[in-house]
Amino acid sequence: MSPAPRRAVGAAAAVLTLAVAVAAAGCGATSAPSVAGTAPAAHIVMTDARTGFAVWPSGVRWVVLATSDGWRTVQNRTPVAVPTDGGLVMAARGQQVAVGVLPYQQLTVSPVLRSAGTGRVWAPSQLPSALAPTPWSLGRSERATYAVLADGRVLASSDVSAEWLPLKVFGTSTPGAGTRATGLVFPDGRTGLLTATGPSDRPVLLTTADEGVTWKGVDLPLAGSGTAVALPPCLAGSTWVAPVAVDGRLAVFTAPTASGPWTAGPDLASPGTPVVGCSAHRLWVAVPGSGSDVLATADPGGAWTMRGSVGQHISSLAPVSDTEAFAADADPSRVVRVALPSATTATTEPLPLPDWVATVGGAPMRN
Amino acid sequence: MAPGGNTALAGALYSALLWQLALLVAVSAVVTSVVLLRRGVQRSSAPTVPEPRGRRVLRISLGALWVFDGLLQAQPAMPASFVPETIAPSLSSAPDWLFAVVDPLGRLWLQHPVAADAVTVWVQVGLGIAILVGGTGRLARSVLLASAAWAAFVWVVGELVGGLTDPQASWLTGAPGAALLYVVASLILLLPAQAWDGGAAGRWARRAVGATFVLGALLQALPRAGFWTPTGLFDVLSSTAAGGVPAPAAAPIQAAATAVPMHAGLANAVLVTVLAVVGTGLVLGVLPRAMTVAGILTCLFGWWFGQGFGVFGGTGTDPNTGLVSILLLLSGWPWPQAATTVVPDQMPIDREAARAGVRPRQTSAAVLALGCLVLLPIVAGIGLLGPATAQAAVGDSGGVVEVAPTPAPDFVLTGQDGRPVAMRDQRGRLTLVVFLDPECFDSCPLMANQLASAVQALGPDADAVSILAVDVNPVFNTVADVATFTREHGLERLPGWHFATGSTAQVGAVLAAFGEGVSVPDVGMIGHPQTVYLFGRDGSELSVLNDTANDDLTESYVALITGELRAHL
Repeated sequence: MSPAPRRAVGAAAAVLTLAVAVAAAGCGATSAPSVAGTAPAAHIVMTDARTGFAVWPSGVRWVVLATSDGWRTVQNRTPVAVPTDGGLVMAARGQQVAVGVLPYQQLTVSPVLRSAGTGRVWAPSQLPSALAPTPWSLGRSERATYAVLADGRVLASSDVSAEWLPLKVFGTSTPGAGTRATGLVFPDGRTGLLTATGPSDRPVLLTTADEGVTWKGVDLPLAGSGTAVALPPCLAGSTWVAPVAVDGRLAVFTAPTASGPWTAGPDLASPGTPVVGCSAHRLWVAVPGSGSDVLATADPGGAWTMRGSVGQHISSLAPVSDTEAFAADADPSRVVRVALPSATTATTEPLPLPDWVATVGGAPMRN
Repeated sequence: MAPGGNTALAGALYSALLWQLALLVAVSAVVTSVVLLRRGVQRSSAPTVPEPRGRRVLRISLGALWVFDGLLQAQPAMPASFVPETIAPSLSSAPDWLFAVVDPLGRLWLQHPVAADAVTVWVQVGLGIAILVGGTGRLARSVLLASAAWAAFVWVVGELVGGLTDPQASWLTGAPGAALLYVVASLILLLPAQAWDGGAAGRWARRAVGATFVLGALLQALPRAGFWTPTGLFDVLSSTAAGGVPAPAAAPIQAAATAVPMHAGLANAVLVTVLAVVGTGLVLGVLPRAMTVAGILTCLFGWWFGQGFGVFGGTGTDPNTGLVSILLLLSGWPWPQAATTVVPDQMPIDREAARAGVRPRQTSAAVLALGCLVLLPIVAGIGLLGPATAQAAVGDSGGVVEVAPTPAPDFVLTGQDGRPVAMRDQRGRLTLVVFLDPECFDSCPLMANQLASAVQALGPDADAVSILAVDVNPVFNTVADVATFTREHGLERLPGWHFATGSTAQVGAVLAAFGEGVSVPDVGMIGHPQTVYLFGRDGSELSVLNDTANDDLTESYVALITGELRAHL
């Protein structure tokens, strides 16, 4: 009468109500997940305008979905022989995709599987301990996969090796007291930005331009005090964007290069953790409210334009152009296509997923 | 549930019941003697009052039912199977609040199956005997209150509120639950004599049954239950026919099941109408005799066709609602007042009766009943307080099965340290062989730790035991994978621990040699064997254990495996 499957059901349900998000890179468009939460979330990663992957809830487990036609049709690309009950994280760039398995019950380490493009064949590897429970705890540069562990260590593995090597991000391979790495992104494929939470819950941002060999701290001019969480940075055209969630608002910092100088733009009120994504010339934000209000700006750090509410809480927003993005919301039976047809409007188109997506992961049960 | 578990636990149950019975007889003899010596044998009859016929019918019926239920609880399969087969399947879909109430008790039963079953047996037999002894005094009323309370407990925990939370709940299969009718019967028996003489008690009995009919009509008519579809009643009837009912009784049920799909709507409409009409008549008291007869006939039909008489199959715990409803209706029949039938005004050891002296036979029966109801459950219940013993694992897994000695398959794989591990190198030590998955999040770490704890429990003899786990994950099969599992679960401290891996072909050959295999689903963990094989010092197979990796029974499995290892050291 183990209660384990019940917890999985609860976690899966909680997922859909918590706005944790993502985004990834590809085809000039990058997007960013949101919060450093502990619950796994649906996560869409687009590698070009129509091709992409997603980690998605299915029954009591999580699955990997793939599309090559903008989510009109989907395929199951879940790696076999690995338990996905605790959730998955994903990173992709170009033809490479990596999936990490979050710990679950007595699975205390995170397997990571990598595939060249299609997701039909996965190469397994094993991290020495568990991934950090953030949607961007796996990162992809052009030639390597990076993993941020729950204990704060950061590891890297090149595409030609299954071995994971520790990086000396904080001068040593482990962070100092009070500092906790949360995730790592490579918005342009070469420059890495690592998010961390420092002492007194202040956001810490570090950058590397040499695939993680050397790291440099980034100074964010964050005003005031209070708990602040660095969300994954992204790249909108030539502007680097670092979003930070601070007690009911979203602070957006921009810079011409990843190393700065970073300047603060106007805050955006956000009752929950927002979801941020970048396209070639726009910064997108979905702010949780009664639904999810989509805002966009072509001037990151400048004025936001309200584009309208798109319904249920968005947990993942992956722009593929300045006018189109794919999103995951609270309804796991669909992917939502968000379009910005004019300067002031947003429209949505639900793209139903096939029925097997809801069931292939197994029915909830108690035993 | 493994048959071996049933057999082993049945032996333990009967052994426990036997010595507890002996204790009861001894204590009862002493207590009865003391009572008789102190109070004296009654010379003349105590004042008696006639017991109304309807009450007598109901009291004797309820008493007999409790005794019968107690005996059903002593069936060989009960300790091992009652929770896994009777409660757990329905519990998985029960509402959270009900799950929260029942789950801890189910776990307690699984950890102490013999003690829990013995308590249940004695409580029910004790209630039955105490009710049969009869009386209307304070003690007799307390017994009836205890009967109502226990029945309510059984209704919630054993019947999961009579199955009413199940969308397919049906009057035909026993909703709203026999135990609820036991509660009703106990409460009606508590009504004062005037209620019986005036017919009010009988009306309440008829109303109670009528209410279950009306509720049954509603349940049967709800579209969500699916009884209007061709498979609705068919499923009920065919399931009843296959539920262990003797062949002569099963044949008509099967015939009805075959016929029903062609007239599903009509059949359900007839059932709903009969339940609604007869139920309403019984509740409103219209044509009481006719409605009582109709109710009895309807109950007979339901008891046979929907409930298969309730007691077959090895894990039946009561005759279900059909029989109880019939007995309630019979008690509500407008019987003529019985002038000759008498019962003692008080239970024989009640104070008032004691003043006039006591009757030896009734005193013995009362002492026996109270001993059964109070003393033995306490004695048996002491076993519930301690840690789980090997008994629980036996019930859960079927226990250790000794096998004819056969040579161990010979194989060489690679251990967690990168060195070769050969089965033949384990000779001279007892060797436990298991198949594990380094990516598994539940059974594998549990099994590994159970085995490790069992070996460590041997103390200095632990050095004489090896654990050889074989990595059967076809994807995660590198030395790093098994080394990580070993490190993460603290197994490197165990000198005899080997987690060996190899290519898919190598491991496949090992699995084939053991007659085992793995399944790889599209999503999720692989399915792999959970058998523990024990090999002797000479390399021959000694026994096997199907470890269910039940995390509620870890201590019990450790005790069981330790005992098996000690037996062969």
